[in-house]
Amino acid sequence: MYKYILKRLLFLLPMMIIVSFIAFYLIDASSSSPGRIILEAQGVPEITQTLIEETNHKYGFDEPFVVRYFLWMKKAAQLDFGKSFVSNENVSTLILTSFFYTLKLTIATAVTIILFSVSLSVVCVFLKNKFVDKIIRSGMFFLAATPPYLIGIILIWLFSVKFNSLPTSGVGDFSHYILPVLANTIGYASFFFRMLRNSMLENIHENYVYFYRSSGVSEKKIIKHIIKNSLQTAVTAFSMAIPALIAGTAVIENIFAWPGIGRLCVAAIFNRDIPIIQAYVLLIGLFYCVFNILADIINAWINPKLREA
Amino acid sequence: MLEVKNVFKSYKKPDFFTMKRNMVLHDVSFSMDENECLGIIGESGSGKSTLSRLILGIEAPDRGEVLINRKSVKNRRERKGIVSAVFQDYTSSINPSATVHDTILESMQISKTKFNRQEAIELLNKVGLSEDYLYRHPHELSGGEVQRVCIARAIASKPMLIVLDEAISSLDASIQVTILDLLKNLKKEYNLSYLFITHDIQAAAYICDKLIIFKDGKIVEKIKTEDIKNVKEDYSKQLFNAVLAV
Repeated sequence: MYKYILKRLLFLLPMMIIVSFIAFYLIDASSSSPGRIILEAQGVPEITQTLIEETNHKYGFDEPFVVRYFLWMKKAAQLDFGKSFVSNENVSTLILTSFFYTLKLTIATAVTIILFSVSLSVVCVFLKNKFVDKIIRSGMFFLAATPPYLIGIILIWLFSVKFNSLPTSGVGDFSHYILPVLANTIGYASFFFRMLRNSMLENIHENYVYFYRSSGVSEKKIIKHIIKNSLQTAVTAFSMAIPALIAGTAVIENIFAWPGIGRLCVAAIFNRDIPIIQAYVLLIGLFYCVFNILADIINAWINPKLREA
Repeated sequence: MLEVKNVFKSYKKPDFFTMKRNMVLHDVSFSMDENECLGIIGESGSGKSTLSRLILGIEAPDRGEVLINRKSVKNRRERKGIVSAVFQDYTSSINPSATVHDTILESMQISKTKFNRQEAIELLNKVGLSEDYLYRHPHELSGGEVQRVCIARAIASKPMLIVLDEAISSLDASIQVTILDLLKNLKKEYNLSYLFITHDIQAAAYICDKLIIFKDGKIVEKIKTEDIKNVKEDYSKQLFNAVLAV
């Protein structure tokens, strides 16, 4: 197992080099001159070509692409992503502060997704084709097809406007989490619910389950085994969903005025704040790579067959 | 010891617009004694596996009852540790995430609270596997080895009855004989009763004391194995003549 983990971790380095290169190149290839963007952001009234060239020289944008890439990488390795073109604040500090809020929202969402999808799939598997199963499946099918932003707006209208029971936006106590977490959870939970239910239905008819049943093993123990063996497909999808959750919270964060990384990135895109966008892309890329490897490791732990792959 | 009394079983047809049901077992009754090996012979689709699921308590009959030691198998606590099984498809017979050690120990846990590694090794040795297999996973074993582990697991809970549902059908011919001999020896050693469900008449004749010939969910004939050449029913004659001709 340790050998397998080491092998997967070694794979992380080349993946991150590719991600960082793509992140740097795509932003760099955009047509706007960085010098002009900085001057515009600083509110300089008359932007001349000489001023743009001076600014480009000051920030090192006149250096060749490869030199700039390696300098950026060197600094990024030390978590230094430069300063924001707009606010002149340290990008690392901005990212870290907003990431903390996104992380809190993501963890709360991930926990509710697991609770919802596992408990509902267990209920549906053991009441297969009964009325409860059909109702849950229909509801989940409907919710899976509804975009999170629409769910968010409906939730705000229902709980904040109509019943005036929950806050519409901002960060605060537990009540501030309920609506954004619910809006984020519903879509993902219905996806994982269907995946887990199908996987559990396959496992429930396996001979090893028949053996447990015939031997009089308790249903509680049998469910534990079925869930463990059914998790394999869901684990990969769920591990990949966490970076997607972090990246995808941008819409929810904007609807609920949540000061997270998604909201920061959307603002940076509008302001063409290149250092923030580059840091964001690199960070999300890193998350995808790390969680991908984590999914492989968890899968290998659940299914020993994969350790040999 | 085992009594199957007037058992009926049907399944709903997989058609959305009809409420009709397929009758799989039709008034099946038989019994078997302790230390006996009873063979249930029939073609594929004759209802043998459905019968085994009813005896194992995995499914309930529509009508009739299955009793082991005069207690219904419907009740999980009543059948706990009394009945065990070895199935045909060895690829899904063992929990894929469990080692041989966990598989056997879990089965031992069914009948008693105290168990140890040494007992698991002894059981493995009894089925012809060495200690080296103890921490292997099912995917690291061959078909024959998995089936041996399944037999060890079935014995581990010290049951009275083991249902062998096509237990040797998916194995190579050479391994089939070895497993049959192993089953014979274990039956003597542990005073076990076997319900041997198969379509393989030769294997059934080799291991069983009595045979039941099954067709379309009904019992055609019950005979002692030594009377195999003196069957009365036409279907039984057809079945045995086909084998004898080969």
